[in-house]
Amino acid sequence: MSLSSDINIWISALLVLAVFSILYRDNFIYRIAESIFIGVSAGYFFCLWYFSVIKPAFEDAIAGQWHLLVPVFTGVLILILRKGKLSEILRIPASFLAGLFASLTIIIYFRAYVFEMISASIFPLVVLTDEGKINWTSTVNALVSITGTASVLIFFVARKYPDVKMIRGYAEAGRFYLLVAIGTSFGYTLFSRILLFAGRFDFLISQWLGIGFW
Amino acid sequence: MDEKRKTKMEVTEWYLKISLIILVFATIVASPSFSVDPGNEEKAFFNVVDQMDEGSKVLIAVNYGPTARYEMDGSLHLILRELLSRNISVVLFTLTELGVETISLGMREGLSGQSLGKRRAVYGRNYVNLGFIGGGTLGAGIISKSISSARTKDVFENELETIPIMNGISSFNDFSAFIEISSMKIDGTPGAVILNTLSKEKKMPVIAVVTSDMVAEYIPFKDSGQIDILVAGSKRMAGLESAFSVEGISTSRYSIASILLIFVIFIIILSNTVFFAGKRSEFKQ
Repeated sequence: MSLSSDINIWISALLVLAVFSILYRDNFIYRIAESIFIGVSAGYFFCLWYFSVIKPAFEDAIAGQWHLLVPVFTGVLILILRKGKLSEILRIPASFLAGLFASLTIIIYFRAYVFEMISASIFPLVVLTDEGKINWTSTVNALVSITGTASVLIFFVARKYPDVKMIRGYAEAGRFYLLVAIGTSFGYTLFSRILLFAGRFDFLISQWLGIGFW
Repeated sequence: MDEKRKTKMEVTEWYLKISLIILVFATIVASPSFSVDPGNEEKAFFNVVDQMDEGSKVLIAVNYGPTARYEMDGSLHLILRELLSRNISVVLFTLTELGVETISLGMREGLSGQSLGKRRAVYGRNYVNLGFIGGGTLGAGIISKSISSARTKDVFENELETIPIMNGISSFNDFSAFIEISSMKIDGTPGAVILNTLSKEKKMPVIAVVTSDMVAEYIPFKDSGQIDILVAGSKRMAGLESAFSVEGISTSRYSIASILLIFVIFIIILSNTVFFAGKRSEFKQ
């Protein structure tokens, strides 16, 4: 065991312990760590946006690309015209931003989430091997996939037809598929959070306390 | 709830917390290592890298921050080392603000003390860091087929035209492969899918390496063919190390997390059993 002599490691370790102190109860040390985290994050993000977005754009504008000042001007409008008679002008930058975002995301969302997903859902129910025999793994996979897609879709419209027994049955299957999906997602998230927790402990043990592995 | 039962539950809670801390401590110090066989995706990843010619250029998006470093750093280090040791150049960028620091640390820690064959990795010649590119800016750059629409300088303010590695690169499609190492979606869409969707002439393999909590989000994109190779989750990252015949930090961290997960599941089952047993005895009384 050899304690770290690096001041940065010490600051990090003490902050980690301060955050872990919430496991005992809400306390002053935890709140200090929380405030430091928020302040440092805000400073980091400001510097990053300034140096990677604002500063290069200003430099390019000064170098002759004056059109780059138009979004800067509209951005400033958002900040200063929140109240008063001229606040209607806010609609210009807001609509510009909404239009730009929509034009980009419509292409991506429609193709990635609609077109490609529907295309991928169209496949034969019985999959054959090159020798003409049934490939059971792919066939069962296809059946589960198509049943899941159909029943989940029915689940979302089943409320409109509560009296139709067949729809209710399919909706129950859809609910089952959704619960399996949510459970799987939860399991993966739990694993990820455990890794995060272990990561902080690993830092305390190996880097701060200097306890070597064997 | 009566006072006696409340105190009993608080004591049990503390026993569980302390035993969890002891177990985490013991597991990390013992550093177990389970070997994980490479799956089809990891083998496919290996084949893509193995078949790449020397002098090829790979575009890597590092889209994760400090919260995912423990899980993802192993894969980032492995990919960087494997590519650079095969004389394949690497162009790094990030679609999240948090990734700028991750790239710097990844390069420093991943390549420190590592020999890349007989060479050393030289900034500008073997690798370059473009820094942060916003999702919309990336989209504009892909649509206009010009990398300069998205970025004209690297993270150190060097003009891209003056950097040797950027010779012959004018658009995002000029790379031999695109690898996204990610723990998040960008505006609701995976970074790899943004590139795949907006580039009309897709010719390079699109690969994603993602954290455990992103597995369910990325699988539909893999199944629909929008991502060619998906290394999803901690176990598969350990499998990736196995595919490259390396026993690195992904394998040991996966092993640590597996033991802890079993313990957490055990606690969940135990606490539920105790809770329902208590309810039953209350009901009987």
